Amino acid sequence: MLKTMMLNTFLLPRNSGRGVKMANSEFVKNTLWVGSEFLKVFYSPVGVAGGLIDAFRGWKFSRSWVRFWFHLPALVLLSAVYVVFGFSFFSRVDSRVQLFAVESEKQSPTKELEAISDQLREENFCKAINVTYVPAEQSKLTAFTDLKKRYVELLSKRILSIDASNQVAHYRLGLIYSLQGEREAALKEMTDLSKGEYRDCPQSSAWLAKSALAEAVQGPQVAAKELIALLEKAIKWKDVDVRLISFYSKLLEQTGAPEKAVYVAKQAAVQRPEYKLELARIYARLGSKEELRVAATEAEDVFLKRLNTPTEKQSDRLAVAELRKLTNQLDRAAEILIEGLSNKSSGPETKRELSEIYRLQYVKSIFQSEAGDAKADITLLEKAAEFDPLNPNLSSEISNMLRLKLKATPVLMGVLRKQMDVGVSSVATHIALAEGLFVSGKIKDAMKNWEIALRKDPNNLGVLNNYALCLARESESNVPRSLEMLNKAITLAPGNAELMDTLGDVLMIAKRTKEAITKYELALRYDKTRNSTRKKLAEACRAVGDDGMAETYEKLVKEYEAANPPVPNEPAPPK
Amino acid sequence: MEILSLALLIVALGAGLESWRDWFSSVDRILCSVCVLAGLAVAFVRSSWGGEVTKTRYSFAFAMWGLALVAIALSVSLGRPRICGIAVGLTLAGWCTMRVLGENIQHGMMLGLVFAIPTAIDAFAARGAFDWLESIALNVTSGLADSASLSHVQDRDKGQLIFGLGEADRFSCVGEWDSVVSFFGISIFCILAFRRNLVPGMLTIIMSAIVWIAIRSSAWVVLASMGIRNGHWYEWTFGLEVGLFVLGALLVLSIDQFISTLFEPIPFEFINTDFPLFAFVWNWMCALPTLTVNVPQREGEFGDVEDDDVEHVSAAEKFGEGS
Repeated sequence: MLKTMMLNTFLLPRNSGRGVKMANSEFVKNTLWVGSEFLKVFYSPVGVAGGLIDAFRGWKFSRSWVRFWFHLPALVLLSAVYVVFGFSFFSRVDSRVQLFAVESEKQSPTKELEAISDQLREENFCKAINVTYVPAEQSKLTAFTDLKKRYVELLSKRILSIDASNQVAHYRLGLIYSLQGEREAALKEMTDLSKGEYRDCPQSSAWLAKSALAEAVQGPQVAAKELIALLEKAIKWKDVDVRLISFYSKLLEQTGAPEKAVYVAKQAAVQRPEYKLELARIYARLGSKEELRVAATEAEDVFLKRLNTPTEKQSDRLAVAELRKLTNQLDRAAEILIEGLSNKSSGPETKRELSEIYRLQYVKSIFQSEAGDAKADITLLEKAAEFDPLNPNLSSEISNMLRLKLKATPVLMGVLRKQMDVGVSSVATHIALAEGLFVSGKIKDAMKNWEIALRKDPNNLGVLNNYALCLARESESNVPRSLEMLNKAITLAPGNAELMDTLGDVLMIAKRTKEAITKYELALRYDKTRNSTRKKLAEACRAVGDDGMAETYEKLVKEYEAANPPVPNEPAPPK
Repeated sequence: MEILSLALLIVALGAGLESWRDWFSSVDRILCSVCVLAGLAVAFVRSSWGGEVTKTRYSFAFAMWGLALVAIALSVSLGRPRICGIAVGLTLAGWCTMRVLGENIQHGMMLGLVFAIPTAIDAFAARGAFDWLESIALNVTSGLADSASLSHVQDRDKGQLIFGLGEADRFSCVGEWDSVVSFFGISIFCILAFRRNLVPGMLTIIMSAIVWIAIRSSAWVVLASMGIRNGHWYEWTFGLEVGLFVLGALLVLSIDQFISTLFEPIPFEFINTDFPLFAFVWNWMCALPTLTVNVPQREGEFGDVEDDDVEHVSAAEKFGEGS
């Protein structure tokens, strides 16, 4: 009854059809219809359920199921991607940070900023790590306009205003500061980053290490410990400048961590195969022959491939020669260099290296007999002089000949004279000459050479020690200068027994015996094997009239000699 | 009528020349236009053109043309050539209303307004919608990178790609983010060619954006992991861009088909007269019929039905047309 009434009232269609405007009354009717249908939810729930079931049946019946199953995989695939990864963006950083970061990166990639920042200090950096400096093209620097700089700075600051610990923004800001010449601000950003304030940032450590090295060329030296700490972090960066790695390995080697140095050098070699040469050098210095052989072979392959190609460089051939030198194949090393002499790329460095190789062959040819006579193939040294008469090692080798009592040919003497005139002779030359002359009794000439050596290297401990003693022996009036030199040497190398012993000698010459005794005792404390010092102590004690102590020391000398018989033919250590 | 439409069209095109030139300056936008025009061609072919012009049609058409005139005037006075894009759409909407007589007025209007899509897209782009989409894409990519263990290209603490530190740079620089426009083109093709209505149509457009994000980010992650494993970077090439578009087109088409199977109207004979509301609302969602009291009646249940039978049959046809 109710149903019929409802239908008659609301549901039976009236005036329905296309193109007929809906009358106002009809709108009311339709609204009432929707309302009354909705009310059925309360007064006829069974009817509603039936309606839903029918609708569902109709829905299911009218689907094209083939189409459904056919196209389902696409949706499943997409939903899988979206459900697994799409929701993650809700928990991610503010999208503005991403936007600014992308915009900033598009404006000037961080790589470019790094390149320009590096370019600004490249020359000093190269000087600091002893690499030849190749000036880069200026186009990048000029393309990076002031406006662009300011825009990138603004974007980085915006990111930081939203996300104050955004590491990349800090890094880019630091780079921009460095480009603008604001050293302090750049250093602050980079130091914070390097300390790990905003997560690990090896790039900043690399930047700091580079600038520390570059600044050390002009300013104060940087402490090795700090540098090692920076480089340790820097090498974790995948794109770190391979020169830094190589430098780090050298530094490690010098500071007594050879195993780590090898590891780091290997890392450099992985990045750039030519750094296998560096690895071979380290193995050579460490004396590990088998590893050296393997590394040298690999490195040689790298460089040999480049030879006799249009891109060949002089350094490639020199590298091959050096590798052969390291593995003791001097003949083959000379061979490859002589082959390269005809090349356009070869320069004075090739000749210097060739001269070095012949010099080494000469050194190898030296044979010392038991009687103390020496023999050597001097033609090799002449050959070395022929290729490069200004090789400073030649002069030290020629001066060494004096000590070995070998006779230098006029050609070699000419070379020595020429080098000394030009001033290319090394400190070692003058030291060797001085020692040779001293041994042969030409003390005045020896002193001249020591004087030159000291001028060239004022902190050379050997020169300071020997020259001080020589001066004091020459004349007692020289004692104050001798003492001054020795005190300087002792501050440079505290705890050196030899220096302390010499100081005792000089004090003995100055007749300050009691002071000399304390110095001798100190020398003995530093090095208990110095029997000569014990003898001197005994003499000094006797000189001051302390016979008891003198006898004690003499007894100790005899005991030591009995315990350590002198090895026959052992050359006396030069003093 | 044709003369009026043509005149308006020429004026609108001429005044908005700049914006059209802008539109055709990007490959992605040209691709989008091609897709939309193909869809439009199919839609024209599938439409029924015969029928009589009613007063309502006249009023709608003239309203469209009037609005088009207003748009042109606004565009010229404000110096914003983009508004002419809307004028072009309105002009053609008026023409379609008067010419595609076999279909309802909304259908005709929709066909004409398709020509305003470039303006709509430009308006969205100018208001940062694509940037927003890009940032979502970056987040999804970093999520994918996270699961692919590309730990060194993204920040684990914050869960975002790190730009400037490695491979991730390349992501921001490769391809134009505009390419989402070409994916929208595909979805609009589906809507026009397969006559999608409001709900499936909207879903298809949304899905095309999601497909675009998923496809590009997956491609990036795959390339990045390949690059890392093999030691050299694979460039983001034009060929790859084309491949991604084709793959994306197939996915969007497939997903559109899938959605449309779910959102088809319920056939008339299955509507239970005891509770027709649910079925009516569903059909309104899926096929946009007019929501009226036209409830089907089971034969013989309520005695004489008179002429109304005829009406019901035509209504059934009308509701069923979307399937």
